Amino acid sequence: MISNYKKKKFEIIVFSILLLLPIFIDSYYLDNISYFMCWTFISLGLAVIWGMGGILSFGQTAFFGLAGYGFSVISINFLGIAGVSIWSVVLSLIITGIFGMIVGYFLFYGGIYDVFIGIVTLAITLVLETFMQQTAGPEYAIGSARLNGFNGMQGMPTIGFESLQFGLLEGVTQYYFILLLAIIILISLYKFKQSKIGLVFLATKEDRERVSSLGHNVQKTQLIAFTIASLLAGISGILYTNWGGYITPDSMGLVSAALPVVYVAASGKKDFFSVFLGCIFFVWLSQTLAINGKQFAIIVMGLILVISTRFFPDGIILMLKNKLTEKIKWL
Amino acid sequence: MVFLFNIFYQFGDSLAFLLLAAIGLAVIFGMMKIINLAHGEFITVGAYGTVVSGKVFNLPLPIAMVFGVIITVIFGLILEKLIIRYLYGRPLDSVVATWGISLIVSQSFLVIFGPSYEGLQTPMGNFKLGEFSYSEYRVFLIIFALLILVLLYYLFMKTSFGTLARATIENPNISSSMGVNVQNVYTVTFAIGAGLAGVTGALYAPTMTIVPSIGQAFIVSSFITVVTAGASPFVGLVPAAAFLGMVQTSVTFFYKSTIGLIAILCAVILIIRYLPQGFSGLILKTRSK
Amino acid sequence: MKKIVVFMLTSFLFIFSSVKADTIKLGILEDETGNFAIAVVPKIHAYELAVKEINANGGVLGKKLEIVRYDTQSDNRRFQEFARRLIKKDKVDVVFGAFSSASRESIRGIMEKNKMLYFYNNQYEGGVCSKTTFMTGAVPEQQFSTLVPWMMEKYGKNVYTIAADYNFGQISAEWVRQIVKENGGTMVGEEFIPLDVSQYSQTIQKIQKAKPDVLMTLLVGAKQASFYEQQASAGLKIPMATSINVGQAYEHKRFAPPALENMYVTVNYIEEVHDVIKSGEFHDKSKDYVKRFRALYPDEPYINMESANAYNAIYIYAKAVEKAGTTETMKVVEALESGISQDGPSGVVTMDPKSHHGSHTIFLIEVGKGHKVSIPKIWKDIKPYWLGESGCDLANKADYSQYTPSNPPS
Repeated sequence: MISNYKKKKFEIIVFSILLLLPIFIDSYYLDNISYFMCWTFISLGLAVIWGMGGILSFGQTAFFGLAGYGFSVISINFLGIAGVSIWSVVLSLIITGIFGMIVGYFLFYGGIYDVFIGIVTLAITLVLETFMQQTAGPEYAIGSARLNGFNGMQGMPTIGFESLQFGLLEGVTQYYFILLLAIIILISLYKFKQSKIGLVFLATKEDRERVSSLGHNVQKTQLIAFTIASLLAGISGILYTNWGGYITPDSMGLVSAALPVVYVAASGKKDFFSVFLGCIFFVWLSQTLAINGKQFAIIVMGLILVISTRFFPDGIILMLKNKLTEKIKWL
Repeated sequence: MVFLFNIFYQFGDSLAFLLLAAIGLAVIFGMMKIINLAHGEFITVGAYGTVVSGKVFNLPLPIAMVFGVIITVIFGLILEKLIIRYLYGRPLDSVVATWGISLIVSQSFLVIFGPSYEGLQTPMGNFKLGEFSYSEYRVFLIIFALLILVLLYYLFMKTSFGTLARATIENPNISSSMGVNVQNVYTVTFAIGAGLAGVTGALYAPTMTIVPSIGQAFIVSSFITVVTAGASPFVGLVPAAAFLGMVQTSVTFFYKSTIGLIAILCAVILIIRYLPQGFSGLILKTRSK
Repeated sequence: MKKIVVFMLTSFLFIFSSVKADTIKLGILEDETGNFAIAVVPKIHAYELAVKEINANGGVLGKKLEIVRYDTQSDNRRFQEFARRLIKKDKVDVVFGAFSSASRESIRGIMEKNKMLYFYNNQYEGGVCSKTTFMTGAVPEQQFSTLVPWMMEKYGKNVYTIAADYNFGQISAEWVRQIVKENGGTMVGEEFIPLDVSQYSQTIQKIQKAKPDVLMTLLVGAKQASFYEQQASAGLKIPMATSINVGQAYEHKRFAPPALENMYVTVNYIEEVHDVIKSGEFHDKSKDYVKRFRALYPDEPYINMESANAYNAIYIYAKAVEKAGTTETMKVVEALESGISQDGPSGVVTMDPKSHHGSHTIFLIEVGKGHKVSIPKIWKDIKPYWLGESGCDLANKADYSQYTPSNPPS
């Protein structure tokens, strides 16, 4: 166990910095970092299925959107009831998980593999986007919650305990909540990777048939991993909806669907921590470029992506992390 | 009679769009297994190549179209040399690189040519049947799409280059040990794929708004058509496009285009589930029986 | 890795900017790049022109106006990120911006929660009734209550609508339906089309089958704009009417004729106004505006109607601050609710205290042979009546919602 933590010195140092950050920076930047961290979970989910199991999904955004909309619809309908913001999060995650299982069942028990999974999941998220875009009319309402089409939903409560005056919308509470959530999830994912299911899942990437002939249930393992990934995407969806008080069909579209894939691949899909850090880095980078780069922002972003795959096939963040731990002995 | 022609025209139009959207990708993704998210931008290059060369040099449309295609081929060759050749055998990494390329290209077009470029008028005229009138160019597109597919089938399935290309991509090591210059085969094949996307851009340029995002109108259609076509794209493309086109036109006819769009996506999901080898798998299976 | 962290930290520290108290800060969020850039760039320049003019005349309350602007890249997420940045970091006094309704809705909630005064300066589907939000663009009752009856009078009573299948298109189509009915006409067809569709053969045949006298084309975005070239090449030849083309993305200049021939649009301004109208109030004002605009931005491809709305918005805000004597949000809102007017590029715009929308001069634009523009009719001082009549009364009753004809304020 101890040796395990020794290996993770780099991670521990980065998290210590992140934990101390609120002392040094003001509320705007803190909120902004919280926002960047909202996007890490959807990418971590992709790192589970893609990095570990070699399953490329473009459909993480479907779960992101479903959870965001689920949270909004439930919480708006039961506005004013005690603890609504908390249990609507739980409920929408359950729904997302069930949907993830259904999709996963369809994929893995239906014998769909490789790039076909990418296309099927892409089609699923595009179906959801196309449908949601045209739900502007009053006939598209679930209870008292209007779906409001392309313009998006608003009016959901902030996650928190109203009676205790504890809200998650912004500030230090939101920051620490998301950061601690990220730490817990990262530790759980490392544990998952070393668990029996995790090892079987890792092996399925290399050779499904051999794993199966050894008596392991390949489909079930893949289904479990896929459901975990969909839940992680759901967490991102809810946090994002909460952060902006807003969710649109846009978040399930083609561009949104490609972004997690790009971030994960460019960061280093085999290492969860690199994905976590890389996701923060790339969201920050694209925002910073948009502020300073004017119309060249998108070109620079594209160049960085192209160069990083050309020269660092395993991901630029993972490469940097490995270099750093190699160079500095005590890491 | 008019009714039948209407069905042919609507269905054919949808078929032509799906086929032409897919042809370039059928080579690059279908054969070479590169998940080319920049496929739309290849089409954009073809469209801008046509329109800009037509305007600047005052060329007649067909020649401008040839220019557009040549420019796309050159563009494809450069990309292959700089980036793509390092991605062979790493299909999943190609997602990031081609996404990056797509960002660079579409934004560069915006910077260079502005948010929009003056469009061309659709060539040829229109003809009437009863109360309906039709664009002749659209009928031409249908015929041309089918023609180009026959050519491609011939090129990749019947000529020695085609056999070489397919064999090399199937197993580069064996081909290499047999003295084939694997790199050259890849380069030429990629350039053909890029050129075909350029053809699509050139053909649709006079019928669409010329904006830097013009190619993105094709991207979803192209991927779903190639995937439903299956492992042997040139065998499966026509039935795949025909099936998807039929689903889309009929659903749009009875409901509305939003449902048509959803229906086509659902059809793809079901085809992949129940016909994992796509339409080409189905055809090859029945043929071998 | 450490380098990146250090770089991130230092860049955070560097970006701390000292807040100068002697300027009034105007936050601007507009899509300089991305899908909407074509119609938005003239807006950005119009803001800058207005600010420059006001500063040259001594500013407002003795302070200069200062623009803090971010490029939102036609991406709703950027809008949300930068809306917070403007409020929290730049501490602006007012925010102007957004092109699409989705972008507006993505930031309206943030503005309202932070009690930030917000101006949306775009033609849109109407219905926003919000205490801290002001709309200087035209709305359906202004564009359709003029356009639709005129078209029916001239061409006949059978109307067919094709519309983008999302909020704007659906709500606009609802307006058209209602006005057609009120004027004794018939809807012979209605089709809603997803924003991603760029091929229209099937739609064109459906229209030909229904044989309408008037075709309402409420199509949005570059992909949908391909309809015009395709209908022309298919020889559709039915008079078209719309509230969005020409006035925003100047399709009549960008597309080769005859794609837009025989189209009618109601706008509250376009730069041809003074070329078509040879003399009088509208000629002088438009000519003057275009002259000043081109002096600052000689290469502007087109000065569209949203530029006039953006230009007016800055002046309306400046007048309200002058009147309120402060930039404090609620005081300025109160001043804006006192019926402030601005004499702009297309005549007087007066803010309605009840609904926070502006009144407009509405020009009927006819795109003729070779895309030559003429103006067969002008309606003066068309008021944004609907929201006020159906119960939105912001001066007396705070509200933060968007309503539609089928879902009016109760």
